[in-house]
Amino acid sequence: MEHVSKRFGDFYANRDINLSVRKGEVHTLLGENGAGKSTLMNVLIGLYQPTEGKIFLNGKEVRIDSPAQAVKLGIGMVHQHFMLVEAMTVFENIILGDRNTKGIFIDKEARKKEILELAERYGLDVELDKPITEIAVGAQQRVEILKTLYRGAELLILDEPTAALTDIEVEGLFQIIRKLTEEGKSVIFISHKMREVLQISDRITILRAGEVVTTLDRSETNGQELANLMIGRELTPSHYEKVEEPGDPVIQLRNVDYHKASKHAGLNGVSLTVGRGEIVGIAGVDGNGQSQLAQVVTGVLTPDGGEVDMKGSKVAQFTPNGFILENVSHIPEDRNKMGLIGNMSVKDNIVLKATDSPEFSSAKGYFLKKKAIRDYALKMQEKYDIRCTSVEQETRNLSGGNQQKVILARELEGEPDLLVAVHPTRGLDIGATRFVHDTMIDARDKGCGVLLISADFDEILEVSDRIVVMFEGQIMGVFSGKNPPIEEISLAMAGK
Amino acid sequence: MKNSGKLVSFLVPIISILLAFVIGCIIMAVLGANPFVALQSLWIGAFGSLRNVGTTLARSTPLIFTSLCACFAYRCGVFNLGGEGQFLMGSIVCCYIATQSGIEGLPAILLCLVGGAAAGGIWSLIAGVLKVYRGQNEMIITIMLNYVATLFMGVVYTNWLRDGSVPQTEAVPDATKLSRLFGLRVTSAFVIALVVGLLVYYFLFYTSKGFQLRAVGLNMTAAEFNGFAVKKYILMSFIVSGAIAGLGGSAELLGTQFRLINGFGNGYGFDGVAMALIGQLHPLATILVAIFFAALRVGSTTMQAATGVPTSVSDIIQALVIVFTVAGLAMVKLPEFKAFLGRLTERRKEAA
Amino acid sequence: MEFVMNIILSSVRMATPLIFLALAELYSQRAGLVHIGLEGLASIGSLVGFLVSLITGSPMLGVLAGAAVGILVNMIFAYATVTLCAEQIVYGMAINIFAPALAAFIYRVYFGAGSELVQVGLMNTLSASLGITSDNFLVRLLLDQTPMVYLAYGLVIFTVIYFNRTKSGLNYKAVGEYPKAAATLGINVIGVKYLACVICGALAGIGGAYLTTCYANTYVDGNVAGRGFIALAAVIFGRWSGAGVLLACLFFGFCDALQIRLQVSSFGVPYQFFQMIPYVATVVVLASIGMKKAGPKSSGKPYLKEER
Repeated sequence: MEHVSKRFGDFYANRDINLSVRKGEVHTLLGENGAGKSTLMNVLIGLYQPTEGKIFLNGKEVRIDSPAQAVKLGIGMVHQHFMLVEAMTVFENIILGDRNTKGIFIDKEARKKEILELAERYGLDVELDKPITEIAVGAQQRVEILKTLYRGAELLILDEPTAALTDIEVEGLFQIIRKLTEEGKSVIFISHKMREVLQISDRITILRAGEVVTTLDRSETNGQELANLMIGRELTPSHYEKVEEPGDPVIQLRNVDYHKASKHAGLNGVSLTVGRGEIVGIAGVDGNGQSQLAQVVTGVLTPDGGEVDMKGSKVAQFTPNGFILENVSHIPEDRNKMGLIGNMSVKDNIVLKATDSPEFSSAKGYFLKKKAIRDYALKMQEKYDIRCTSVEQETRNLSGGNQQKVILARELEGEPDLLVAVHPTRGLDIGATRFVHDTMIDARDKGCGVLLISADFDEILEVSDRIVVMFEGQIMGVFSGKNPPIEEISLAMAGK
Repeated sequence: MKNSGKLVSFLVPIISILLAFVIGCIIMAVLGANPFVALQSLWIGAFGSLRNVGTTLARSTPLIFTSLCACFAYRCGVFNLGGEGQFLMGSIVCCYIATQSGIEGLPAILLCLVGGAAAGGIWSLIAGVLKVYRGQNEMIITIMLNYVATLFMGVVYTNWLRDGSVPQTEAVPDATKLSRLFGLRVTSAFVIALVVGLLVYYFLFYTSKGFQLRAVGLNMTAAEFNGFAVKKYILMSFIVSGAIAGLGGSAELLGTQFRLINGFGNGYGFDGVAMALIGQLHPLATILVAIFFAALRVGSTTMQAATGVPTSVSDIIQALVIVFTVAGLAMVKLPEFKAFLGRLTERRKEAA
Repeated sequence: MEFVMNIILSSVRMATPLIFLALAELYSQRAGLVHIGLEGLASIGSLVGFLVSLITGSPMLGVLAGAAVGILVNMIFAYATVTLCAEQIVYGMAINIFAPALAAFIYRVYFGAGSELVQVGLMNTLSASLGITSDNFLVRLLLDQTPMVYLAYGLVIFTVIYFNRTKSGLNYKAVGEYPKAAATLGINVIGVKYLACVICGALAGIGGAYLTTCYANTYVDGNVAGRGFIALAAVIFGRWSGAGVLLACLFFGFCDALQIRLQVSSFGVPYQFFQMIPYVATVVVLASIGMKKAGPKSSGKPYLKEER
């Protein structure tokens, strides 16, 4: 691939990417979430069209304008979220969309024989007649690989293939990958797990913010270097004074479990305390249980085990409203889906939680004080520097930074006891990011406990007073936010 | 770009109405009638005299109820297509009270209206419970329940409350009928419809609960994250919207029809949904749309008498308005259209 | 015995239009399109079938014309829901308002207002064209039927084979289940959805035309009488499979036949309760199976190509 770019609106998901994969090698694409790995691969398999750039296959320039075309060229992809039709059997999924054979009817016996031969050759153990819903995740993945091989793929793209697998299943997958390369197939392996990358790759290309950082041979690098390159950026000293002695605990988690078996959407024995006047930063690659942690401490999810204490007393019932009444504020991870009512105005979103209060309505909520709401919104617009044409503008039409300021105005103005902020600066420009950080520090200095969850390591280092690293639903370590040990933390994030 | 979105969604129904009329005029011309004369007689038929206005408003009354029913439910993100069934259930209970209880006059009227509203609300709640607790699509369920209600009404007028040889119920006693206004066809049912419309408007836009209900309808996840009792609002919107339709059924029975008979309330449910969508789910706009549709229906008779254009041309125009508006509203939401709009405004800026 | 035989014979007759309509719904839903506008498609198909058969004197041509107009009107639905991504149920409702209005209009224009009832010759049954007359029950059941009945059952068999045994049928189903996965395998998702609308329109039009070419010898407004919705019910009740849909249609046809008998004989239970069975059964089925198994997964959802 040469100089490939993909733009969504004004946002470059990929910019000027050069990437070459040799025959029979395992080439890893390494990068944080949102680095542009999946987008790049979707371009390669024809699901997206590149905005610019060329793609060459075996030295010849090719245009891949549809997935069908990619299949024809021998490119197959195993998506992170499997593209399997759950209502169908393994066999039906494998032959779906098949163009290799003639005839109208499905010649079950012949096809099954072919598939079983293929499966045997690459050591892919599958049960053809079981419906997809009845087989394990590892088996589903083997079906996906078999699907691409059945279509004659020479280049296989595996997008985060180990994300949902157990350790034993990962080992099995690696054996399959080795078998594939032995047979002359090429594999693009997408991951952010250092250990696995070092184990399986021949060459490694590191992607950051949609651009290629560098390509390295496995033999000439090590985990430390890769971790640094992936997270990137040399350390800049923090702008903020760090607090070392927090106040009384606001929230305490003791051995909290949630869907313990799931490494990527669960919590496993998490114990954590956030005190008044401190910012606890949860570092870690996305999808290691952070979302679930945030939803437990805001009452959206009820944990399966363990205890949560709120300001010294045990929480009995988990509801968002219960936590709001306890003065917990939440900057949710997806501001459009979870934070804002996009079709409502700035004004309405600012007072969203508070319309029952006597400040904004009288007669038990049966009369809204529209003037009071508007005045308050104007005040907030000024205070939080929300740039909009008027407070009547719908929030979905605001820029990300201004949307986040609307949420800040709503969540922080009441001087909360606990603020849970999840990826609060994702997608924001430098100015807006700075504003969000200043606001959080401000809240901290007023005695609010802040739990910051972010995949942006810089952000964690910048504002956290304590840094907690999460990996596969567990806490890997707690580090001081003042002079943080960068290397130790980045290794912990990679699961070491 | 900021307000153009709102402007566009306001323009869609207007353009759709114009387009539908243009096609209607072409049809009239093809049939050999002068479209302008036809439209003029349509207007006269609907609004030409006080009497005609009264008839139009009377015709619009049940439509206002069912469209408010749809409007209220949709505002909470509930696609209640069961307005018709709820309307009928209301009228059945109303008919029972009016003809069987032995009470007459104002107390009977009040009892009828309350009973009808309750029946509509309960009927609607069936779908609500299945949605909230069984995760079922309320649209299919409410459609099925419409037919159940229609057939149940059949049982009532052909069997249980049948009056004489004709399959229909006994008429509501005179004392229990809703009074006419100024001696016109329109009755106090229309006033009730307006009051309900104003109440819905007030509730949605001037109370805290209404505000929260709209928030639930626009973004259920965010509403839940912000601590609203989402399920409670959904169930409530089923009950209230059903009650509005049920009240409409009672008012129609006491005001205009007086007895249950084959075809009572036929099509009002879907008409109401269409009108609510055309009115952009704004209760007051919805009332205007309902009056507009009623005018087309009433005026078409005059048009037929004056020009020979069949009344069904008016039905076609109504249907086209719906077809165009729904497609148009979907179109303006497409990313391609938004990009197109964006380019347009950009170009205008460059020109300026 | 006579009574039972008559019920069975008329059940088959009542079930036939339901089979066409339910298959139309099945093909639509299998491609992820929920279509509640069959009532409308059938009404316009019924009118056009009636007119063409009246003009040409051939009920067969009437059925073909019904299919053609069904396709034509359903292309509006296809464009709005597939290309413009309009809400499918709302648009089906719009079709339900539009198509019957169009049918009523054409009828008025063609025959003028207040004309007397026009009647048309019905399609011959197989036994009539073969010249067989017999009172034997089996002969009547198997031979005293119009070609449309055989077509209906032929289509059911075809559908079962198509969805279970052919490659194309498998691809078709994948579009309704998981269009994105289908797209990654090179299946033309948009194309299949449009094809589904063609099939659905044709079958619904035929179902409508059946009513005026084989069932009743005249057209009246509202002659579809809720069959479009019973068909929707039959697809749900038949769990989205060809065979299940057939059984559901026969069962609902039986309910219909029974209720007509009961209307004439004075029987204790009001006949409407039998008419309710399809609708009540559907609600009960939906309430009991829960959301996960309720039909093709992506049914009702629009398909956008480059979604972020």
